[in-house]
Amino acid sequence: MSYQTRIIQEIFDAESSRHSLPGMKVYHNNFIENGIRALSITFSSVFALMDEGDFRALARAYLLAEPKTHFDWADYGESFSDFIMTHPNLSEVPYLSEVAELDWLLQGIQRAEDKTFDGESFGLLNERDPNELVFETAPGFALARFVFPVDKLYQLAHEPQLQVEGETRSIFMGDLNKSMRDAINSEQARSIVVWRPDYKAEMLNVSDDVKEVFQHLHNQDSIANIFAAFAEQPEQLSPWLTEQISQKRLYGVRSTH
Amino acid sequence: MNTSSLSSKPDACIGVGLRHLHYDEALAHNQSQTPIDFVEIHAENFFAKGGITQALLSDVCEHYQLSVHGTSLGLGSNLPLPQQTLSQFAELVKSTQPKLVSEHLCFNRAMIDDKIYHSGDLLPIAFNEASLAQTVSNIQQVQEAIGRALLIENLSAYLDVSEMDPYSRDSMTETEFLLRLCDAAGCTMLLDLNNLIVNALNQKHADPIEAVMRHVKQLPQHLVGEIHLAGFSEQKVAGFIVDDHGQAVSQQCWEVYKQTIKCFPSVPTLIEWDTNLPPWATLVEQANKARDIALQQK
Repeated sequence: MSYQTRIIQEIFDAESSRHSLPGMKVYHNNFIENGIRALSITFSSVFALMDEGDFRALARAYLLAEPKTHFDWADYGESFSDFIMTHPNLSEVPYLSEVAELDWLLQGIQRAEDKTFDGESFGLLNERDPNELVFETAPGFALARFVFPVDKLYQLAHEPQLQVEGETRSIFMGDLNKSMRDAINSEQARSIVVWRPDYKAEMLNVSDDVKEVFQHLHNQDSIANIFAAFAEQPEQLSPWLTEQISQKRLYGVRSTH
Repeated sequence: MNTSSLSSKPDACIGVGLRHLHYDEALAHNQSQTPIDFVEIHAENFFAKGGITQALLSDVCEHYQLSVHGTSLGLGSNLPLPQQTLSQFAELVKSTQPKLVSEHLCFNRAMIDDKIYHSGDLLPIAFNEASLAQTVSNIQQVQEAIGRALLIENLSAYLDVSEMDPYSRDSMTETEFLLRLCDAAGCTMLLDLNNLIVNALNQKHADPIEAVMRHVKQLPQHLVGEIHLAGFSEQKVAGFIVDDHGQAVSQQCWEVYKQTIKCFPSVPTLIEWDTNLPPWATLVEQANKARDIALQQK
């Protein structure tokens, strides 16, 4: 075995007693500390909602269970959500796994390739068969489903006014607790649209009556499918379309032929 | 790209590492009021295809000359260069046209159970003929991809690889290795004085500054293209001082810099501070101090 393989093997080995040289402890420690820092950035909401010591212990366990096989720390952590779900010490905070899932989704959106808004392309809607057209969605556009109110948990983790005790936080926590109870009692997933209009990812809770439309967008189905979804309420199509454009969820229209 | 500062401060070229915490302040200042000639970014932080980092990068390039510092190519690795990472690195260099481009004399990964495991660290290599051939080949591939020469940084190391593998004993000193590497690959050196000091302290040299200067004085003037200055935290791990760039430039490092800059006048100098970050103003003070020393030694 080459020294390079041996050093890497020892870095990933949790048992410091198996480190052949004292210096290996430094490299192992570097790996753990760099990993904890990287995970706290990627999973910033999970980090904010947990006690720091608990997060460090969780991240350390994950780092030793899931080898880093990517060059970039930003690409590491895809299975963190699943790891949290199966972690025996986290059964009392069942929402954390979904918060991790949201963090991972948002991180991908923040890094997604830029797109240019193409207003003129909407003219195709008047010229072409909608079966041959699809909407060009915003960078990172996706429809995700969560049981817990992850959008509110995200707010709790990041909004400055919720980080201090006071009336604003008190009202918010009351609302959040009700949403959490509802989620546990109903266990019915809710849909959230995520997208990046400019530089910051956004979230939108989607009601069941328009979920189908966003699902078509997410699937990149033809515009004919989207029109069909409004068949019973055709007057709703135009305002819906205007809102998607003004909120920068739609960047244009393109032909599939 | 703003070059007015360079024309107004021709006698020394001082940069600082630009980290996320300082983006707003660094970009808010008028370049002519900031004694910073260039900023160094870690290449991997700007590999995202889009989003705010690309917009930030564009802003940074409007304000400062750039140094692109790679940390993930693992040029001394036995494994082939990662083509995707190399493409991202080359694209970044081509799009920003930086003043300086650098990487490290290290490896970072190995194949275990048919998977490549990545340490995310800068790990030491053996200073022997096999390492030299491998590293030269890798550097040449990178240089071909980016269309220019690399600066290669000397490393802080916490173990001697020959103790891990008797078949990988050093057959030359680090200095000899670096000189042959530069000659064969056509690259130059990024001389990290803090790394030399950390190594000298960890190796318990009686006079660490003398040990560092012995190394520095063996380097030909034309081979040193950049100097790094940094500090380290007092907290040790397993008895080792760790090169964490978590403090102001150490007194030993300033002392060594005074002597070194005499040997390599006008070589760009960078203040590195990566963890336990201070206010931007403190970094600027450190840059001012480096400039004063550089000008005094002329």
